[in-house]
Amino acid sequence: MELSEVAQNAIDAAARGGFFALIALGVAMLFGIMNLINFAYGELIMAGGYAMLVFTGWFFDATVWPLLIIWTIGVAVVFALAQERLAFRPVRNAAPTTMLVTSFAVSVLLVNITIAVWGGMPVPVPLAGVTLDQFVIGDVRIRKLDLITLGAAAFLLGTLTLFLKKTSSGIQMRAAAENFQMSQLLGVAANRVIATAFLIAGILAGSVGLIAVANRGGVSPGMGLFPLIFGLVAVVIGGMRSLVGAVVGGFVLGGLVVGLEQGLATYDLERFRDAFVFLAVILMLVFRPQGLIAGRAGRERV
Amino acid sequence: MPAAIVTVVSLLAMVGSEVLERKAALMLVNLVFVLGLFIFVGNSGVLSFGHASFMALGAYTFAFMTANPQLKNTTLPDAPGFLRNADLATWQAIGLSALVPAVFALIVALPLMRLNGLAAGIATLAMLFAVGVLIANWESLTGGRTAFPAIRTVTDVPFSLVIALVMLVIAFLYQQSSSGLRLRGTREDQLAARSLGINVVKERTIAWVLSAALVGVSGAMLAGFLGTINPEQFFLGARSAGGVTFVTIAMLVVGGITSLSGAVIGAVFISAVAEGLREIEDIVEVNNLTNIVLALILLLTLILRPKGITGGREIYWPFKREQTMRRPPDAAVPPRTNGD
Repeated sequence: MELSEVAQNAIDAAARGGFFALIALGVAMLFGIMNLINFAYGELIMAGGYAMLVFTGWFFDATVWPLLIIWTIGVAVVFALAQERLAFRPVRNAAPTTMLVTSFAVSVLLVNITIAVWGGMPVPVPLAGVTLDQFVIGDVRIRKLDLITLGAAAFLLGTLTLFLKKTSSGIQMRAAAENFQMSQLLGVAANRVIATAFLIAGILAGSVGLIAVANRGGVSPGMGLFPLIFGLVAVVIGGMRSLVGAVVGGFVLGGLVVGLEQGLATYDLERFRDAFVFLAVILMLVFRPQGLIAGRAGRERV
Repeated sequence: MPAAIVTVVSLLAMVGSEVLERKAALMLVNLVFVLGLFIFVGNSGVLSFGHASFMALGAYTFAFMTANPQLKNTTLPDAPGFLRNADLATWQAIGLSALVPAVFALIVALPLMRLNGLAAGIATLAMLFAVGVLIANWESLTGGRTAFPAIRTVTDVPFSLVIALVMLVIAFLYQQSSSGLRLRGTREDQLAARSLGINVVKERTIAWVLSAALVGVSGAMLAGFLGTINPEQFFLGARSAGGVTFVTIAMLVVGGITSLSGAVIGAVFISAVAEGLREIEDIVEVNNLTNIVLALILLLTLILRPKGITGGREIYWPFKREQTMRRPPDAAVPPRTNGD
């Protein structure tokens, strides 16, 4: 393999890794605090996507970038908070699997409402050309969007880290993730901490929605499923109880996906890539359930 | 009692119109799936999103065994000869549709049955996706995403009623068997069950394989009903929003996840609601109203009545039953006595 090829693959892996890491972070956030695996997280991404569709309907093209970004993330946040208040708060103390089924129901509900309003077919979202712009350095192509993805991931990770380490709410959230019951006894307001977690998850989902739509050039009711599943995979690989693990898992998955594509292409099997990814998940769950980065001692063996 | 419900509903449908008859047959297909799902999920308390892949295996097995050999030779020229030329009797094909998923289940049980709680949920989901990717992309074998045509259409109400009743008896006998009881012991308290010498992995594997066989049969029934199948139907699939996985989990949860009566009542109830809504859909012209309402019903059940319609109890005929203390896994754990 030539050097330029290696560089190209590394860039591809990093860009996808950044994308997966953002999703994984949102998934792990909710899991850490309330043991919830949120299937409907994908539908927050979808909500962001359709918010963009509505926005471009008003402004014809998306030249007003800052406004579009704020609007998209805002809509995703509203949906995230609504999910928490209406669906997950009532089942908060139920078994984790009950919450999982609940989120499954929320997911199906949101997808079908979207189908009822916009139809089941993909709809193009006119964005001003970001999708295709790329730099060429030697033999290596770098898509502008990949750089934006990595930049957004770095920015959001940095901000989130600062928030969690430096602010009072952030410290409360980390305490709640550590030991929810104990943190409540010490005066951390459960409702507020959980709502904050959903707020952050909404911001992340909105950002992912922006990137996903820019990547695909359109929206469809099922657009959240693939990101969600891969985010979940990244969380399992990285470690379910650790935010750092989620980020690491995202980048490992990015590398795994690109590596599998390259490796399987030799045998003309690349269309089975995802089957191998899911096999890796099952093996991971069996042999290293704590993930690559173990995080805090799990209350339950997950 | 559950058997009585199923029979009455099906017979009622038979005297009705042809449309109603088709709906009853579909209800019975779903019922067999839910019975299979119940054998594992209800008795073990471990969630599975993966059972639709057993249905897919059963359906494709049935399709290969019964579709017209000449047609298979033209549509799937690259498939192995024994599949292309197979032309089995319906009952033999159904037997194979139970066997193939059961063998598959036995193999995947090795890693999967060790997992609990959320890990099991994710791993079975991963299994569903892996099987879905394989079926949809292994074009030389399955025809990929294109529909598998010309499967022998055998499923009507009497046919599926007989199968459903047999499966109901199997599910009942399993539940009452010593293995079923041991498995339910592990559901209530895994540690205590283990300390009494119960091999959790072994008991789960038995239920898992049996449930795969039942769900495989429901796949054969579906293939024999529609006459054509495609991989999308068995996927989690966004288009049909969860498709069979969603509907059957809704049936089991709404009916009451821990009892056989719950599985049956849930299947009948959700089928009836769904078919009623489909009629309304045509009037109000919102073509996925059914899924929206079903999702709402599932959501409200989980929030307001998490143990389902039956509350996780069995209902016998006549309405009296020996009172056994049963604690579903979702309920708060009551204070323990020494004998617990």
